[in-house]
Amino acid sequence: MRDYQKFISESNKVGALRLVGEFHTKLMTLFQTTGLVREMPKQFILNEFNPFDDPEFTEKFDALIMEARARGIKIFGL
Amino acid sequence: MSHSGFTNMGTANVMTDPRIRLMAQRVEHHRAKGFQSPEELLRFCEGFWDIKIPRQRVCLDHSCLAEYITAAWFEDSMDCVCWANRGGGKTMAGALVTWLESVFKAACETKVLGGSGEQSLRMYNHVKKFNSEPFRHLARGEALKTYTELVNGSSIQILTASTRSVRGPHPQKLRLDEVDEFDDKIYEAALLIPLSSGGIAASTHIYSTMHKSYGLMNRVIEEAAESGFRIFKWCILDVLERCVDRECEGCGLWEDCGGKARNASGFYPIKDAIEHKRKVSKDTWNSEMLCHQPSREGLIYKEFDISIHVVDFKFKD
Repeated sequence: MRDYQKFISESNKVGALRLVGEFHTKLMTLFQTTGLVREMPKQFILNEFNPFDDPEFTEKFDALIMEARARGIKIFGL
Repeated sequence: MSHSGFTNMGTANVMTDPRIRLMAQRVEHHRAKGFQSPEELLRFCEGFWDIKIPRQRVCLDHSCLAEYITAAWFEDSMDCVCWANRGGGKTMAGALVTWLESVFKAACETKVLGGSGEQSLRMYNHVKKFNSEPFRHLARGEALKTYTELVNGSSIQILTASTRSVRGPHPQKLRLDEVDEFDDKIYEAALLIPLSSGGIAASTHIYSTMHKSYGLMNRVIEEAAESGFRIFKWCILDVLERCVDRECEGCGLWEDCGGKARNASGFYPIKDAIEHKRKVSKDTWNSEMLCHQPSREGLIYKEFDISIHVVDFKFKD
């Protein structure tokens, strides 16, 4: 929830706080109505999926980059 | 929150452009997990910055650039001296190791001292190149010529060696670029800069050609074993691009190369090497490009050789 501070503009900070608030409310409602969880979690950790955690993907990605480099193709962002 | 969560993305580009976002994800992966092998590290560097890192020893008694980079990153050797030829990638390697350590090791502070203002600027230009788009979200404030700070608490200070620049705070990492241009006293004072802190061990890396007879680099190399410095030495042949279709017969480099360039995997254009050899004196070529011995040009008795001209002689009482 504290992550809202990392946004630069004030409107983004407000937006991030609203999003977290809405998400929190919906999740609580869901838990309460389904009864799946008896005790409410104290903290949520949201990790973004990172494709590079998969070594096979990383290997293929590197091979592609090196092939592009060998052919002299400009890689955007690098 | 984990590193992979992009907690510090301040720039709009990384947030919005999926291509840069993917590259930044790669950076975040290594920030969280590090590099598992030298191969993984070298592949990352070559792919991200389009740099050619020679991995093959061409001269048997030399090292290759890849050996230095991996030894520095994995901290096999804390104190290193890189003695290499002109255009051999010393400053680039120094900047690369500095950037990698700053990004992927939290709270790693580095001070780089250049032998001249121009040398420091060269180091900064390399660091600037490495600070590409996928790393921008990691910068705290603007990256300046003399000081760059990252959100993980790491920092890079690039200065020209002087009596003032060797004083002040004590970062863990010290890099001395083109040490042959240093004043002896400044060099001595600089060696006291690095201090271990925050779980990061102190280390000193020195980069230079050895172009001055009896110069500082000569002393550094002679005293390396005693001072605990590991020597990484490479010459032009070790960084030469692979020779594929050039005939050995009549080749301007044959005398030095002897066909070794067929196994090279570097970046130095063969054509340029031949041109350079043609233009400079044999003495300069041997000392600055083949790293044989320091140049004796400018000495009054340049033919003087301790092994030939100094003998044991007992005077009669």
